[in-house]
Amino acid sequence: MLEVSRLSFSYAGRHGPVPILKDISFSVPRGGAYGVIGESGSGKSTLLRLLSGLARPVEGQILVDGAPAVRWSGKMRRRVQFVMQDPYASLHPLKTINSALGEPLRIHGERDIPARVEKALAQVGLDASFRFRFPHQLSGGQRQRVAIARALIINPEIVLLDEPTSALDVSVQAEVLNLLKDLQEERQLTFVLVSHDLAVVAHMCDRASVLHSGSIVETLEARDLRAGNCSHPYSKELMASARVGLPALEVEQ
Amino acid sequence: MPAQPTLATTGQLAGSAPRSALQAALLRTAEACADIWASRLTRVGIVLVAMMVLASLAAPLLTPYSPTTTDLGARLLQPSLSHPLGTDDLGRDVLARLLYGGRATFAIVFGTLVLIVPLGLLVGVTAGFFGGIVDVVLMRLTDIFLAFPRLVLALALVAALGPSLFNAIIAVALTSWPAYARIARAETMTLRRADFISILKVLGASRPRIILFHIVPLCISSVLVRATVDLAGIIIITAGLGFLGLGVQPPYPEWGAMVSEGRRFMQDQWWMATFPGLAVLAVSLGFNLIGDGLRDVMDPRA
Repeated sequence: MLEVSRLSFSYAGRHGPVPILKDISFSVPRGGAYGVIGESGSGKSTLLRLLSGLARPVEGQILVDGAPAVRWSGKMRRRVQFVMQDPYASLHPLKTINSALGEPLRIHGERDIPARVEKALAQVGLDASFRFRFPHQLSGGQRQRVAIARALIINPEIVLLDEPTSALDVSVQAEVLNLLKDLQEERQLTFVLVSHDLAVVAHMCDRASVLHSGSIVETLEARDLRAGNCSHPYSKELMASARVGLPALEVEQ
Repeated sequence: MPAQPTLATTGQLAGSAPRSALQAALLRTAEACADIWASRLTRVGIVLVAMMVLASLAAPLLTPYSPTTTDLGARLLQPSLSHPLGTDDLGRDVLARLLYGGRATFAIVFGTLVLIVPLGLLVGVTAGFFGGIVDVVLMRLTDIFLAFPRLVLALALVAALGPSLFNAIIAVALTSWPAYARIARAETMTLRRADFISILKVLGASRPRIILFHIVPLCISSVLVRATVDLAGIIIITAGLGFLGLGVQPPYPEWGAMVSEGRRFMQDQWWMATFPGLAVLAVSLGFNLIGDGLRDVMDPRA
């Protein structure tokens, strides 16, 4: 479904190009969930910006169903959608939920907008009373549900998730993760999830890569991730530091 | 970024869930109005401006005199019951001229506003959103306009175009828009990297769509706040043009021109210049108070 080969990205610094991502390759089958684990500054958010077409790779290729994602126009746009980290920043402050959810449909010239907006709200577990509210009248978890509904309303195949729960309370995190998992099963979505939180990745993904200063140092299967079986020293260090904060989330596994 | 209305955040009006887009918009407008009305000084400003606008619109009902018919037998009469603000050197009632003259002043003020807000927004938002060469070209253009003193540039334009009400509007507008372009550009530069704009790109929205429907609405509030504070300046420039005989042409009244005419009689017939001067002062003050109130509501940092 999604194939990334030899992807590199750098930006122009004062002393020549500053590399952000080096030689990233991975592939995700349809309906699969791929995790990328890394600390801040590892380049994980940049990776999602490349995959979503917001930035262009310096080198390498992104293939969606075998077709290179070079020009992000019409059809390609609909296939890949993005849920961002901060639900307080990803909703337009002056637009009602109704307008935010209708916008993707209007952009693509679709019909039946009111009915589909209502359906999309129901699918993320928000009742119709939220429809004409403004983002500032919603909690963080409710906002993130709206952001998820907005990404899914034009039926994408690939959904990019940038730390979808890190801005939420621990109690709401599990709810949103389970919602994402349910939606994935229901619609055969392909996920690329980026997070610094090992527990979240282990809960959501079949495979995951550990990203360290722009390179993939190790790729793990879900069960190795849960068991903490890894070989690279950086991954080991990451696992060890995560274990301290893990017990609270291990309950939901 | 515009602030949330305080009433909405405290939930006083947001308690019930709106059931339609119209209701949501009305609720939000009501919240904003309630916030603006909450300040006493802003209320004073609104009442002041509203009274002046209504009085000049209802001029024929408020005075029996014509603003242009001369009556040389009634020259330079002191304020009295039949002429509450006295008469001028051609025997015209000063109150009548003041009321009708308000129409010219407000026409110029609102005409200017209608021209500069869209023009400034369009130039500023385009420059800020696209950046690069577009930004450089548009901003140097605004710099050229900003480099001249406003009144001098307005004078030059009216002198070139010929004095009339319409040309006065054009001249004042052409000298006022660059400030709005700068505000809109600064606002856009912070918005264009916002997550909710990036998401629109991922959704496939065209650039005109993003600019018009998503960035412009967020810039309008700061531009409007600036405009309200600026209106006082516009009134004074308008009056300045009128004072120099470059605005509305005689015999039609205009406040600045009235002050100019009254200047010669300042020593003995003080009412001719004083009342139009006070009118300019009152309206400028009113607009400034409204502007301050709007800014407090929309930008809690100030």
